[in-house]
Amino acid sequence: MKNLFPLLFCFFMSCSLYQDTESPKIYFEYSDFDILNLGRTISDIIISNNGQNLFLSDYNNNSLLNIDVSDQLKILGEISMGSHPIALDLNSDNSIIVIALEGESTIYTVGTQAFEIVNQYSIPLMNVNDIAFLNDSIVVISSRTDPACISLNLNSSEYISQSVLNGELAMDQENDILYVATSSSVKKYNWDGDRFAQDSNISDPYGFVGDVHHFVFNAANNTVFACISSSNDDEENIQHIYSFSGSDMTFAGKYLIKSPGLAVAVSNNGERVFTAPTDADEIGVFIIEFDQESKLESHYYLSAGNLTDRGLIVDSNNENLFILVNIPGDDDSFEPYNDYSFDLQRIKL
Amino acid sequence: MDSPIYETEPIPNYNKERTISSSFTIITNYGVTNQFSLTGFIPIRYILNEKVLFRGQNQNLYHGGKYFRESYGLGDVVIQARYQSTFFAHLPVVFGVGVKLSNGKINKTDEFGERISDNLQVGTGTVDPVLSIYMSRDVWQFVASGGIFTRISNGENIYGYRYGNEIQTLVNLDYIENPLIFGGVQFSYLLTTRDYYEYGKVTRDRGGKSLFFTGKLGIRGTDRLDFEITIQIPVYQNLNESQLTSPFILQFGSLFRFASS
Repeated sequence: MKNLFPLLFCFFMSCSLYQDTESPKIYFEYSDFDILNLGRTISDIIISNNGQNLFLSDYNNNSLLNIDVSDQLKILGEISMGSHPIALDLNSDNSIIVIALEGESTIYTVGTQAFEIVNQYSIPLMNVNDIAFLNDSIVVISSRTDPACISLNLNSSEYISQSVLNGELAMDQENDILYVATSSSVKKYNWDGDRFAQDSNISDPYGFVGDVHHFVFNAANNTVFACISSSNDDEENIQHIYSFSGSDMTFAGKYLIKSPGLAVAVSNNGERVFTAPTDADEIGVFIIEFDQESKLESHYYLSAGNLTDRGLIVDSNNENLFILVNIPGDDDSFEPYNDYSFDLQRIKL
Repeated sequence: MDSPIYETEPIPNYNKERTISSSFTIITNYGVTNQFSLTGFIPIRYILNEKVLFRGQNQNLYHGGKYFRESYGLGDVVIQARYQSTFFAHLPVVFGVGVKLSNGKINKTDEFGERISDNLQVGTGTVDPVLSIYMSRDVWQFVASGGIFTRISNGENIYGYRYGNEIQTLVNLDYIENPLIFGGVQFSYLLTTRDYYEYGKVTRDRGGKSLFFTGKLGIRGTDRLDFEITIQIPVYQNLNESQLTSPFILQFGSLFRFASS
């Protein structure tokens, strides 16, 4: 009987007390991040149609970066230019990048092949915030402080003041339609060959005075997506990304991300919507993918740090997502004005 | 602990989280008879966790930055009764039955007055049974020994948190022949199950399996006083989701034998 005691004890030890019978629903797994260390304050990001090159405007270092993303992330080139580049756009064949500066009234064009400055243009706006190609000859430029946008002809250097409110710009190039996300609503303007005229359809007001962080147009579902936060700190946080129908500007859906959106990207077919929230989850900062049809989350992608305005783009094959991340633990520099720097992270979809 | 792993693989520690866990444990043993003894483990603990928060992770520190959580004080005391018997003529076996008390505080708060998580408190908040079995045998000039220790969770604490069960298996080989120094090696296998939050919500990042190798070296100061240093290194770890691990655990110990009357 005495010898039985250890056997019983051992049996007791091996029982199901030490088995996990439940596990949490896990949407992601950690793995090492694919990061290109830049340590810069990036204001805008665009990608070539072939998905091989990313172009980033470096706001603090007054330069344009060319990043090779075909294999290992690496910097291919850098061009210095005027004060505080703020916004970028590519023309239809991806041969020219147009760059708007916030710190001076100049627009630059850069050839993507040779990666050198092609031309520069003086404009009558200051504090420019966005720029977009209408077609390969004409760009539309918006300013934070001037009352209206201008159009600039890149061939003749002529500009025309347009009856278009300032805000974030999104262009439907196929149909010559300009969408502008202002601080109160989304406006639609039609191009008549010389001037923009406001469409009879405008969106309902947001219901608050907003700061627009990112605004994109998706041709596949003819929808614009706006990332907006409230300008008034006392108001409750905006928790959604808004979308509006391009045809009649009706409300096309909102995507719940629990904090204001900083950036949005949409797959070419319009089915997948990637969103960058302002706030982190308890576990970390996630890019949230939504199904466009159901407006529900479908995937989460862990990012390495805090996200930023316009800092999210997807390549045309929907294979890679590129995001700008500010890793708080890396803020160990004592260089003046260098406490808010971003790196580039690639996420394979 | 500052080296996170996901299951078995190392992962980056982008928010630079680390936990420093120190414990000063007084172990008292009173032999009632030659076969029966009572043992008490009285830990005094200090736990410090620091990390860099992301924006929005803590509303009290909305824009992020360094965040500290700290707790210290008397941890949960373990009281155990041990009974020794000999089996198969030459195999001494020690059976232990006891309880881990719930005296350790579990309501420490951070600098903003928010209660810090259960895993960073010095106590657990529940009275749990602890069982052990230990046996040893002389092998030439060495002593081979082995044992099993288990703590079985006895429900939720007052905050609704339920710790998982724990079982640890040890195998030791010690050299004790020399009058001045002694030493040995140990392999230990630790298995813990997941914890549960209030209402039965299962936790992430808790529980798993670990295999440790421990080296031990000691000196005999006097007939009554020994000093010992051990270093424990993880050999294999397979943890549930991501958890912070430590590259090594350093332990200093001393043993004083009181004279029997």
